[in-house]
Amino acid sequence: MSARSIIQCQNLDKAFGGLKILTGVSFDIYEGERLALIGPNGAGKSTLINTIGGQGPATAGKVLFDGKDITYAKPNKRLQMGMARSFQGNNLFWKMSILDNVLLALHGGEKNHFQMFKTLENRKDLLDKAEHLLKNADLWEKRHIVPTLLSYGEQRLLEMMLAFACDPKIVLLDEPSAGLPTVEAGKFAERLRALSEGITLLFCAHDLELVFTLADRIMVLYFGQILKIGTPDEIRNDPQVREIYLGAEEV
Amino acid sequence: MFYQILNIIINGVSYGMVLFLIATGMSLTMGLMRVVNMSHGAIYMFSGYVAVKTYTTLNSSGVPCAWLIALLVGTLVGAGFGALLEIGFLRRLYKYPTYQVLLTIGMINILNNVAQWIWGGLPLSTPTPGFLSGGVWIGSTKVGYFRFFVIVVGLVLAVLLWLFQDKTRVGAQIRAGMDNREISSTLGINNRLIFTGVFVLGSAIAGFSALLGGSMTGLNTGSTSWNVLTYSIIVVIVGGAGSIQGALLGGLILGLANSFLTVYLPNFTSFSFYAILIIVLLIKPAGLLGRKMDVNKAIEADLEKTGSKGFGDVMPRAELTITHSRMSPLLVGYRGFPWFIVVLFLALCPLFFSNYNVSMMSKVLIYALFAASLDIVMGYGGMRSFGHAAFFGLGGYVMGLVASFWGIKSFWLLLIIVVVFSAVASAIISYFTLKFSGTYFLIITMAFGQLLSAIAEKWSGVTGGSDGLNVSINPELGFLNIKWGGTSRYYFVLIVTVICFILLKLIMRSSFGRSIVGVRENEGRMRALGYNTWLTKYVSCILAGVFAGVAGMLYMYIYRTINPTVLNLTTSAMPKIMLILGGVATLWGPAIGAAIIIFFQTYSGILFSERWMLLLGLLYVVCVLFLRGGISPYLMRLYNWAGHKLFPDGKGAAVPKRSNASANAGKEAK
Repeated sequence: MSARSIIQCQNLDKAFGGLKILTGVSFDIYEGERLALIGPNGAGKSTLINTIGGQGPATAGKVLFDGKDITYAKPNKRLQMGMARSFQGNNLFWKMSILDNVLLALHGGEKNHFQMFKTLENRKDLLDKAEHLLKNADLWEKRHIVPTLLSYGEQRLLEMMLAFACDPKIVLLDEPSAGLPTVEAGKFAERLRALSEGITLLFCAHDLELVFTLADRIMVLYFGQILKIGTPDEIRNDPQVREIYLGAEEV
Repeated sequence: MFYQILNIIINGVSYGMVLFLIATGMSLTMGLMRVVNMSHGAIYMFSGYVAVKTYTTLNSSGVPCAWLIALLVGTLVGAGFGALLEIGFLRRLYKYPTYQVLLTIGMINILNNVAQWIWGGLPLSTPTPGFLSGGVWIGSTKVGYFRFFVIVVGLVLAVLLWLFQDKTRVGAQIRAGMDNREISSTLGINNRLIFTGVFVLGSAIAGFSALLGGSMTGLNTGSTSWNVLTYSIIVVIVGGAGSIQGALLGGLILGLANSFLTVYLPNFTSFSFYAILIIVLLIKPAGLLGRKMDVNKAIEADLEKTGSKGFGDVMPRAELTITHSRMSPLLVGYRGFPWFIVVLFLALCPLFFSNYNVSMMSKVLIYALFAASLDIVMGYGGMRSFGHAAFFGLGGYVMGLVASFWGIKSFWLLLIIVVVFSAVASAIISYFTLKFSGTYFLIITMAFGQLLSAIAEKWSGVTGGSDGLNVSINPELGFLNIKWGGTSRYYFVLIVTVICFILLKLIMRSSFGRSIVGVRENEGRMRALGYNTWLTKYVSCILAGVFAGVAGMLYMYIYRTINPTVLNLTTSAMPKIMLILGGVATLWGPAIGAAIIIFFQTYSGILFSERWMLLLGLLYVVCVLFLRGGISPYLMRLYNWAGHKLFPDGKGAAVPKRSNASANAGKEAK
């Protein structure tokens, strides 16, 4: 694990009106690591991801990305800097073809979105990348149909692909395996590992199997505060964590 | 001095009360149901006519209390229309603001025309009942008791409505519905009944106020419906939708502003409403007494409800699911629709068409371009613009003014001026309108169109006022010395239109065009994918404005005259109905729609003379009720079928399979 931190969160507070969700959250994400975020319902996992990802800025505190303050940067700015994200529910372009979904994601990573006379279909480079991505996910054959026709697992995969499409430095995944049946979860974790090769990852999940197979480090959130950060083994053996979170499952 | 001001205040307050009465119904329906009932003014007009006629008949036969009976009849007529409209039509269209607006605009045409049919086109004067005929002297002016009566009635109704909304059980249910429709229905509130009730109540108040306000708003079968509509929309926006106090405040502000300006700054009177509107929009977009949540909630509701953001209503099922679609090749080796055949047909038109029909074809082309420019924002962009005629009219006006004042004749120079001007105007207007979305966007764009129309009408020294601007000018190209006539002008329009369509096609196929569609489908995701979605929408609005401006310029070349109605709502509705009829988010949709509507308009005008507005209104209603996806999916199916028949083993065999799958997918998604 390299020691260079790519994201630094400093004393993040997030409140919705009077309801405090996050209080004084400070942590670093190091380049190349896969950091998992766990905690009981309502602990603030999704809120933290949204705060870092720009879907509603922090009430107080700072988020630094590569040393630059991005606390109030818009989501599109963040993506241009190299931070992509996926959503908890499948958030796709439901009426556009799968290829279009991926092409839009690939194009989004580029600087100029106002080319009026160049079509996406004529962009050989984008098409090649899309083909590569879709073939890896076994979706190339289905590229012309709309995502509504895919199975839920495939839609989930497409959702992941949109996040990873434009070679980001870091990807935030909100419950990547949400709603997947356990049978598919293993294969999904494999694909996620392949996709995130060399990319820093911050993800939150309820599925502990996914967390322990994928994560390099785990952070436990409890009522908006960091309870513990450590390697999977440390977390597994931490009595406090066991009590509040793992306890019910392991006993 | 004191008496003068007192006078002005009394006038203003009584006018304000009338505005309040007219607008309450609108405010309630917009706040609760998010239904924009454009025919509100037409209901007012029609009830007013019935009431006045009732009064005249009763009064001449000596029935006592004739005026009160007439008032009651007017109220009942309003309520009846409200019930008919809500139960018969709007109920099916709750989710589709665009269709509500088009349907109710159709209703305006129908009601206006029917009223004119029955009672003739002369304006009516509203009677003052015998018991209110006197007046008091304030200073040197006599103020009629009638005005005081209006004020008292307005106040009483305001208090009653307020008590109804805030203190009764039904009122609480209404407020719950405004806050969150879904939750309130899960709490066992019969929203459907409440909606109908509120709608009928609003229409009844409109019908009631017609006899009171007729003397102040005027009562005729032409402009009244539109004026009353505009006033009530402005009152609602200024006061805040859904709030009775807001409607009262908005009405009073506008009434007072109107009466003060009439005395002190008569030239600005007609702008005063729009000026107040724009000031309020800039300071407090939700209206003075509207809860801030209202706007945001409307936006959020729009964002959340339909997976495709606020668009659900104008989606043709077949097209958008297959963005890569190429239809099965009709001509071997030629992919896509054989456009050149269409262009060839258009080019040959003058050979076998009469002069009259050739000029009609010019109109078709101009409106096709206009509708296609609207398609950028409405079809591809999914934004419900209802003020697109503003750019169309501006293009025509700017071209005419520049040509007549500065004597610029060169087509190229004029083109550059029109393009630049349209782009700038569009950039300024869109900057404000894009702060809103959904139904609010629709109303705000409409307000801007009406504002420009009012300016064109009142600034008569420059624009020629309501008579219009007449400039006879030929397109001087600089290299061809043509003797301009109907046919050569047609060819000129054809060439410009074809070039514009090619440009539009290229832009809409480009990566930028795809990102406009992406923003329509899922704006949040586009933002997360790195797109500046606001800028995407902004640029597409500007583009639409520019193409509309060019269409307006062509209009000026052909018609040589332009008047303020070209800038307003009626003209804005035209390309919309063309798009819906032809099919949105395609370029041939607007063209087909324009052809059908213009043919219809021209020939119904010839065959049924004065009744053509009625037929147009009926056409709107039919389109909205039965042809919501447009006819293009049917045409596409026909085209695919023909392609298969002609080339059973054609190269495109794989394509239709895919398109069928996607078309079905579209249906499932619905």
